[in-house]
Amino acid sequence: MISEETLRNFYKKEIRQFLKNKNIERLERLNPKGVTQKLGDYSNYVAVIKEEVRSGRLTKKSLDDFLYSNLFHSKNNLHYIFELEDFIIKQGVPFDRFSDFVSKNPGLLVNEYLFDKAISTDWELCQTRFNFNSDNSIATIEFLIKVLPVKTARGTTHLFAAVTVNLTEKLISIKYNQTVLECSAHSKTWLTSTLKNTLVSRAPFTSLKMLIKGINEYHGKKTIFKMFNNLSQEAEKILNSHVKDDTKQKIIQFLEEMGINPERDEYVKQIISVVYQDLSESFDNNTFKDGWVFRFVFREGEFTRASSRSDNFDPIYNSQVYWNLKELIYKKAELIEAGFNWFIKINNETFTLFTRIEIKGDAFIVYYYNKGRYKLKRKEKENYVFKQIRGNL
Amino acid sequence: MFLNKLEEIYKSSMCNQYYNADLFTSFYSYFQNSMEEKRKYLTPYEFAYINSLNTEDAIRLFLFFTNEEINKDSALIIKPFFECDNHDCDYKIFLDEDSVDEGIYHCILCSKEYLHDEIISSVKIYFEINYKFFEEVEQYDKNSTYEILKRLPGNLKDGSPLSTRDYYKEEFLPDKGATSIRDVLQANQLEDGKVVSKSFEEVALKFAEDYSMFLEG
Repeated sequence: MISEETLRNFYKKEIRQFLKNKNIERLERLNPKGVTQKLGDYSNYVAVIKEEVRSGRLTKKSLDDFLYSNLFHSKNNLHYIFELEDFIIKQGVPFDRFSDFVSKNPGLLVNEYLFDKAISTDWELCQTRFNFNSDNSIATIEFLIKVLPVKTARGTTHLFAAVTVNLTEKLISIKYNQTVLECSAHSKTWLTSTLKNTLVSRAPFTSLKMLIKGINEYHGKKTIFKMFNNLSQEAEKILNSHVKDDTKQKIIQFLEEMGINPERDEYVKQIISVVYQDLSESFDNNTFKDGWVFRFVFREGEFTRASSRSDNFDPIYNSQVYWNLKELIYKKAELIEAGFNWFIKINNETFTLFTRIEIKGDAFIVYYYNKGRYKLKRKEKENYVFKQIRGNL
Repeated sequence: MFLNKLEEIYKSSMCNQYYNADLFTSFYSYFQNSMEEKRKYLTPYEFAYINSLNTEDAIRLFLFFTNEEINKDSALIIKPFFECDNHDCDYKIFLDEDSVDEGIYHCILCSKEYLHDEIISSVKIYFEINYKFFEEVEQYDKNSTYEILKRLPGNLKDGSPLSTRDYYKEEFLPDKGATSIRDVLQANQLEDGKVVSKSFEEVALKFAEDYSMFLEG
């Protein structure tokens, strides 16, 4: 597992920082003086890590924790999410015979050190991890799979996929590092569908009796709209509270005076939008408590795509485009994509999560933006996204 | 006329043994609304969601309306496609229109190429409305209530078709998810070894080079 192909998933800086934190000295071995290091040359890094583990100065456990937090979580910014139709372990069932299960399924490599794993083929499972709830029931099961070698700017690199089975929300995600994924000669769709097939019908996964169900594209569009609507409600509420009581009456009066049928609700709403737009200009980012939407994409009819985004991730509510399109979006109540900034409370601390969720093919595709404290609390953030999807599906 | 044609198919195929008149009414409304909106395609995924059906049942129902005798027009035309996987593109690449070489498809929006073998498991199906099929000179007095009533199909005489205009409802049950071409082939098989749509079989054979291998996955 510790090879140049694996380590090329990391920046050299990250590996040096990790070793430094573990009090590994003589780091100059990694960058010998007077020698120009090639971008893709990780041979010193492989040698140092192996040497340090063999000498016992670096434990397999701490190396494993480093690889786990990166390869299972923070390196993966593109997630394909499907529904989990069946799994051998059911949600909420305390799993007492865990050690039994593990010893009966040695192929799953549960908690086996990645350091000891020799990668020999493609589509190969490298490690399985279980996460438990406080009542000893299983919350999530995670797999790390080496997919294929791909050619990146740093040389041949293992493309990994991390898979999370979330029993609570009955969802499953297949996660990649997009930078590495895009270097593959294969299409993302094919890689993902082959992985799905592997999880359902190839050893050692067959013993898990997993059944994965794609997302109906239409259902997915409704779900994304609901998430969009939920998060935008706060903005609407704040705006509503600033609109004077007689506004609607005045608009109707105005339409009457103009000789326009005031019964047409869409006209009234369009004019209220102008009022909202004017008010929203006074919004700043501290106005919101739950977060905001910063982008959206929808289809008008079959062939017209309309979208808007704020490149600096600010709320879309103070853009004119949003108010011009708002009535159209709400009339259809479907979105094919939306970008959310969610405020997530984890242990009384608030984290921001910038994601974009789209429905394509038969999956929700979630992209995690490298923004804010992006790498931290990934497990919790992923669970939050699962919850949002399940809650609106 | 429109309704007559659909009802004729509903009754003459085995469709009426698989789907009850209520669902047919809903299908008819969906079809009619889509035509009024001048839509090009009917999507079984939308229909499944609206009617809380699983996708397989929705696709099979649609397949019945592609099953006219060979060489004759059908109400719906099967259109297998996949979506370009470039973000910000998602163009629908139709297998019968966007093939540029044997086994190669091309996205005309972003120029990305796809190999047949790589997209086959992610193919989805829309159904193109064959407007020509419904175009015929109508030889009756359209203001005659008697004629209008006479032309209504049996199952509609007691009530009006369901309205499917109010698409957005909160209380829908989750349906059975999206469906791949393999599921469609499954949906196309009836219990007694017959197939719903001959034209679908033709389409499937045309684009699945190694048919048996792809059936096994």
